Amino acid sequence: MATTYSSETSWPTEWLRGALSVCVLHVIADGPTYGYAVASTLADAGLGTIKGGTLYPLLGRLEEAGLVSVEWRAGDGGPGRKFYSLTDAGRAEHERQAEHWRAFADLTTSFLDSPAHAAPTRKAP
Amino acid sequence: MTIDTRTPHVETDWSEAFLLELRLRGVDGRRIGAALAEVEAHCAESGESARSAFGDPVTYADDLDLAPAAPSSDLAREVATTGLGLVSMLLTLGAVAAWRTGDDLELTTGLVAVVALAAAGSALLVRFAEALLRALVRRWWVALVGCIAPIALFVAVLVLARQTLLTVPAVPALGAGVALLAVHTALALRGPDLSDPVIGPDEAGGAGTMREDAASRGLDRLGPWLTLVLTVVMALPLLLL
Repeated sequence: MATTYSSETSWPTEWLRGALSVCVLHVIADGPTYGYAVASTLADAGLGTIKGGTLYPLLGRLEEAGLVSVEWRAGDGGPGRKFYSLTDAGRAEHERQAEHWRAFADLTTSFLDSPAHAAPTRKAP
Repeated sequence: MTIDTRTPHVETDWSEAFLLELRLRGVDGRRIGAALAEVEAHCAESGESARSAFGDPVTYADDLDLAPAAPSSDLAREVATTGLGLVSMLLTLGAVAAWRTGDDLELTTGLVAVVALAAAGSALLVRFAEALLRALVRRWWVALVGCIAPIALFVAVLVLARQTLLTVPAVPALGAGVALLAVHTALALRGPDLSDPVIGPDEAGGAGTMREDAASRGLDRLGPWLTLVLTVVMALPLLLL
């Protein structure tokens, strides 16, 4: 029986922390977008609610590292929005991190699907 | 007094605490404005409160890790301007008092010590500005002690160390004092503009731009004239009584 994951699913925080950077780069790779839209896309994908307090500092670090460029655009009626788009370095980093994550996820999945008898047992101190 | 940052979807206490924390960290006004505008945009669109989306404002400011602006001017110039202001003020006031009583102006060891202490004090103020501001903001009595203690110390030094180093006729001393006051005021007026207003991005439609009231604009303009104004105010009772 397949489990469905909705935007209401809450994954362990430490899992999200590991995957967030590559997922955010992945959203921005689709074209220039702004903070709230990134959070909505991630939620719609079933990754859960990413709080502004987590998302914007990460976007700031990506900007600081030169992986994204930013541009303010006037909003229609509402306040303006800060749009983020990938730089060439950001595109390369997205591909690198995505490949890395896939390898890690595959390894974890195949490990969980096999018996763990090969793991060394620890002696009690 | 409330601070209006034109962020209607952000709780006022949250935006105030956030702005204060970034100011204390020495982040420049435009970066603060941009950070506020982004919070406003997120809250306006998500319908969340700033506290629920961004958590504690001080922690969020810490997480953003915005670099402080480069120091605006050199320490030596600031200390020299402050020192000159104090010397010209003390010289003018002393000369006025001596002139009123028909005496000569006596430069005492206490006077020299006060100028040296004030110069050292202003160097410390500039050097430890952030820590001092934090203490002032958190505990009201620090501001009170910080204002009264130096004045009490200066008065004590002036009263106790009265050995005369030099005697100067009152009128030339007054002339020198007024000339130095003029030089100090000119230097202060030509100095770097230290005001760093909080301004949101142009495209943000005013969000993140702090509205300044007439009082704070007036205080900004008074800054360079402060020594001159204080000297005149303190000289008046000497002249009238």
